[in-house]
Amino acid sequence: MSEPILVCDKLCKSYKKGVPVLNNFDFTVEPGRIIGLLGPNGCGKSTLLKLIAGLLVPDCGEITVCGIKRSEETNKYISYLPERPYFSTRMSVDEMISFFKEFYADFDELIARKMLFDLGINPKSQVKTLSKGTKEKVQLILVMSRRAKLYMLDEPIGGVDPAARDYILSTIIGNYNEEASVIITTHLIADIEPVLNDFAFMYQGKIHMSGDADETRNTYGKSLDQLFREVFRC
Amino acid sequence: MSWRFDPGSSVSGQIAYSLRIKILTGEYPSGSQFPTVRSLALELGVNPNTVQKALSVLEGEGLLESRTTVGRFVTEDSDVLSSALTAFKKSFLESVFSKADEIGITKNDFESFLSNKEG
Repeated sequence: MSEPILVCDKLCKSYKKGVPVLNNFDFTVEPGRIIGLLGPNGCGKSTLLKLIAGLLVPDCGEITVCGIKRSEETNKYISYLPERPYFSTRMSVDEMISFFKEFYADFDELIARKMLFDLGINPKSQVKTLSKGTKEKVQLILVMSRRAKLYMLDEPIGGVDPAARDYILSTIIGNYNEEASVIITTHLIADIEPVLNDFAFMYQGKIHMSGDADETRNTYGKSLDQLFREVFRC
Repeated sequence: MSWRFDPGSSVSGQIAYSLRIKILTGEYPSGSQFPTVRSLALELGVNPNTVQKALSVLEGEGLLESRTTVGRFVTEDSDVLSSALTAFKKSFLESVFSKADEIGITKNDFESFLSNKEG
């Protein structure tokens, strides 16, 4: 068995005393998996990704990435798409590509340019002139063009049209390799579930239910989308 | 691109089912090389492991043969193909008739439908 890409051991995080967002959270990601991290609003999905990316510091517990304790060092293994854009809108797409190239040794410019071309995005355009959906596409392209070990995509398809959604999902499949893993959070479960190996339903800062996506469909005779609606019925 | 899957069952089962039909109807001819896991995964918009699982099922049935380093091929064994076709037709008809039975379509309905169609 090869080393897990990610191990979260008894993670805790609260923004306000006595109100834990993550509570003794354990989570392991093996290599070569595409994992859907699914859960109702406010269940702690984005907080978890921010902790792994190092944007937040856990109150207790430990995060290990590719066998190394979370640090500056582990950031180079992680390609993270945050829920909100973090780029300067003054840049052009071309400038963003140079920025990524400079910043990340594993960035593959050719792949990025091919994807921009496929989605009809002009690299000369200024980011601020792009529509919301196109901005999201550009960010996702940059994140997916790195040769990382762990991709963390926080709501990658929420704002984009269905055709681009298909393209993005096929990019994730095409990018698939045995050494890397992808964590995707989304509310559009039906769209992504055929792409997943595993799923985890998160609720109140813990894993509520998890397993092999396709086996679960078979066992319950339901899609993950239907199962989610049942488990989290309001 | 990605097709719509029936939500009520495993995706790998549904892929095996549709590839089986394509093999039995000769869309993938006997003896021909079969597409790779990755190309099928991209075409269908599903996880490569899921495709892998579906292909293992078809290998188990003898419809596909794996040749190391070269890839997968549709079997050239005509006995395997014809008995798989017979079995497939039987199970397909069984499900049609059991559904028909559920909504009260009788043998007479079938007969008059067929004679009208032929006439």
